[in-house]
Formats: sequence, C-alpha cells, structure tokens
Amino acid sequence: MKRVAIVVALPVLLLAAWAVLAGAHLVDPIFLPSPWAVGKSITDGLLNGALLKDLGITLGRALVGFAISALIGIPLGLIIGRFKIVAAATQPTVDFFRSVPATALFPLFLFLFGLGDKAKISIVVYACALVILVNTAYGALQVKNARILSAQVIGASRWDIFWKIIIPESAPGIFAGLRVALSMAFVLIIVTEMFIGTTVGLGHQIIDSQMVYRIADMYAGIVVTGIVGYAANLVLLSIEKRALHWVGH
Amino acid sequence: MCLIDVVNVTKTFRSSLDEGKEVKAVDGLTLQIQKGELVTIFGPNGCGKTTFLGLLAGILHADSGFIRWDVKAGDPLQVGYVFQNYGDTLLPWRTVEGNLAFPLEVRRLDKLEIDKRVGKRLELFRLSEHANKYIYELSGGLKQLVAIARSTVYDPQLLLLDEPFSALDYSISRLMWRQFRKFWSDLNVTTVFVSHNVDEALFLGDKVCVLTPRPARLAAEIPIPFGRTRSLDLLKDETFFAVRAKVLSAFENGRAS
Repeated sequence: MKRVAIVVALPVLLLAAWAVLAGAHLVDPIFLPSPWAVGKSITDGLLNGALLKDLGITLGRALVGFAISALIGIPLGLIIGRFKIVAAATQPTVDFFRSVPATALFPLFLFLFGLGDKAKISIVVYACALVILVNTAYGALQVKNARILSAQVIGASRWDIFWKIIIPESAPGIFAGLRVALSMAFVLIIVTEMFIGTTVGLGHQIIDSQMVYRIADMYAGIVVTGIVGYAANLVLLSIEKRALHWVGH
Repeated sequence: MCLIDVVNVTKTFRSSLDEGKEVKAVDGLTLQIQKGELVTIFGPNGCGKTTFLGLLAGILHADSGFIRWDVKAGDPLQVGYVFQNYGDTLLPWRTVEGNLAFPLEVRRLDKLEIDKRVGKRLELFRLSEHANKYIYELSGGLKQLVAIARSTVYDPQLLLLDEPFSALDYSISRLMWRQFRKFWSDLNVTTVFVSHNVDEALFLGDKVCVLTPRPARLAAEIPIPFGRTRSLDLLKDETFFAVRAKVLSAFENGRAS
C-alpha cells in the first residue's frame, strides 16, 4: 500500500499541477489544453478506433525494430565481448556510429529503403542494435575467467561454455542494453512517423494535429505514447527481475 | 599401485608485471600419487601449489619433465577440480541441483540418468534439502560442499582441491574436515588436497607432501598413520602432535634450503 502511494504520488502531483495551470487560465490553451480536454480526446480516439489504430501501428513498428535490434546486437556484442581482437578491430567503427544520431541519417535511410516502414524500422535498428551491442559486449567482458576454466576442467566444450556460461553471465549487460533500446525504439519510431511519410501511427497523429491546431488531440497522442513506453518498460523489467534474480548476491 | 607419476617437472611463468621477468613456480618436482590415496600438499603461500594442481589438471603444461598416469584408469584422465574461490566457479543462476547436473549435461547423459546421479550425490553430501535452492541462498560452507559435490558427480579418477576451506572460519573448517574425510571414504577417489594449514593437511591426508618456498620442490614426504576414519579429537592427540612436529620441521628445513 505504502509502495503504491510512493509510486503514484509524483504522477498525481504533476496531473494536479497541470489541472491548476489550465483551470486558472494561467496558460493559453493553444499551448497547453486542460487535462480533461486531453482526456476526452483520448477516450474519443480510443472509442472511435482512430487512436487505437495509430497506437497499434506504432507499437508494431517499434517492437519489430526492437526485436531485430536484439537479434543483431546480442550475438555481435557477445562476439566482441569475448574476442579481444574483434573488440580492437571494431571499437573505432562502433564508437563512430554510436556518436552519429540516427535522425541525422534520415536522407541516407530514405535513399536506401524508400519511404515505407522499412526505412523507419531501419533507423530504429541502426540506433538500438548499437546500444544493445555495446552493453552486451560489456556484459560478456564481465564473465569470470575462473568459471570458464572450471567448466573446461569439468569437460565442457566451447559450445557448452558459450550457451551455459557466457550467455547467462552476460545477461545483466544484455538486459541493460535492452532496456535503453526499448525506450529509444519508441522515441525514434515516433520521430520517423513525424518526418517520414506515413498516414498512420502516433507520430503522424501528433504532427498532423499540431499542424491544424487540434492541440488537445496532439497531447492525446503524446500522453498515449508516454503510457505505452512506460508499460513496455514495465513488462521488460518484470522479465528481467525473474531472469536476473541471482545478480547482486 | 601408482596412479600418477610426476617426474622432475619444472614450470616457469613470465611475469606480466616486472618487465616480463621469469618466475620459476615449480622446479624439478618429483612425486608419486598412489591410487585411492589422499595426498595433502602443504607449503608456504605462493610457493607454486596452485601451479602444481594446474599441471595435474592439464590446464598448464610443464616446461620440462613430465606427468604420466596409469592409462588403465582412463585416457584422458577425468579430473575434478575444486577451486579456492568457489563463488566464481559455481553457476549462480542455477540451483544446487542444476549446478550438479552441469558436468553430466556436458557429457550428454539423458535427463533420467542425470537426475539419478545428482540425487545420489546430493544424498551422499547431505545436500538433498537444499536441492532447489540457489547458490546465493547458501552459507559459505554449503557452497563449498556443492562445489565439491559438483566436482565428483561425474566420478573423476583424480580429485584436486585448492585450499577449499581457507575462506571459512576455523570452527566451520573443522566441521568441513570431518565431513570431507567421511565423504571421501565413500567416494573412493584419488585426491590431491592443497593446504596452507598444517592441521588440515594432517587431519585429512594419508600422506603429506611438504613443498619448499617458490620454486616448489619436494621438501619431504611424510606418511600419516591415523587410519581411514578420524574424529576431531585426533587434533588433541599426542600422536597427532608427533607427526605435526615432523611436518613442521620439514617445512622449516624447506625454507632454510
């Protein structure tokens, strides 16, 4: 009960502050409409299905991008983390691309993948795979040599050691990467929906509403985005808690 | 019958510090280990005891001299190795049962056979009630028992232990000595036990090999006449003191030479 109160306190406070600002007409509603106007827009959007459709499409794009990033980032990260020579050979390149914002590369991705979902998802993958890769490599670097040595004496093959020791012991790093990448996937997919042609998706809904001054609708999109991101993180966190119960003892 | 014959073995390391200066860890060590015997290796800290175990385990290779074993016992020889830092060698993401299953999984035994063998080993080590606990839920002594159980679950012909009880406090160590000696009688495995505690080396061993300070050479080989089953009262016995004095003077002579 006390825990719930602590978790809920700040959101309630923010909502209350928003209500007071809007209720006392301290801010022009063209910049910040009242919470109830936004709430009404969300309910309407969900009931008539328009917002639900945007939400579904955005969620789908983000999760596909996230999944592909994991499939690329985890194996490469493990290889880089376990083989010093691969790490040395790839580090400058990885660090270079890590410093280049995905959003700055829009033209390149448009040229390579066209205007459709492929370009949007590729941008997510570019940024997220790098984050997962770097964190996974760091996790793989932490694997205790003594554990590998003792497994070798026991008679474990390289394959056994890879699957049964290196992967589980790298898991804290893998999850750290996944958590950052998940939030990033949502942010990036919304940005691409705003700036790369599409007719559906929360990013499209936000930018469209903004252009025609349907500000309550715009905030509806923003609030839903935040809630979805939070919920996705919650799911990942509960998986992580179960998978990494052994860490930190 | 002789299981392992260590002949004039020398091992030198290149120090990673100290501008690659060569450090001789083992120098002309000759030693025989009889089948079914528990040999304790006693020597000063840093004398090359761990290096010697590494050579026996086949993790390290001698620069000169050789180690040969009775191929009738198995080729390659199956070795169990209990490291000093058990926390870094067990698998914390697995339960006690899962840790014991690991060596059998890598031998590709089927699930039923694994369960059977793990169950038997847990029983022998009185760990059955902890089977489903994770390693982090156990005390230090129990963790080390799990490590020993894991190293013997595949019935190795040679068991190597590197100061397995040195991280435990004295009263727990004593209980572990008694337990270990008891399990060991049932395991019937040739064992080399490295220790820097003279009481431990005497209480557990059938034979104590005293090593010199680095580079390790054999200072003395002293048989221990206490029989198979031993109680902790032995530690207060006159005959114990007599052998202890012998070992200590060999230790001192080793230092002097």
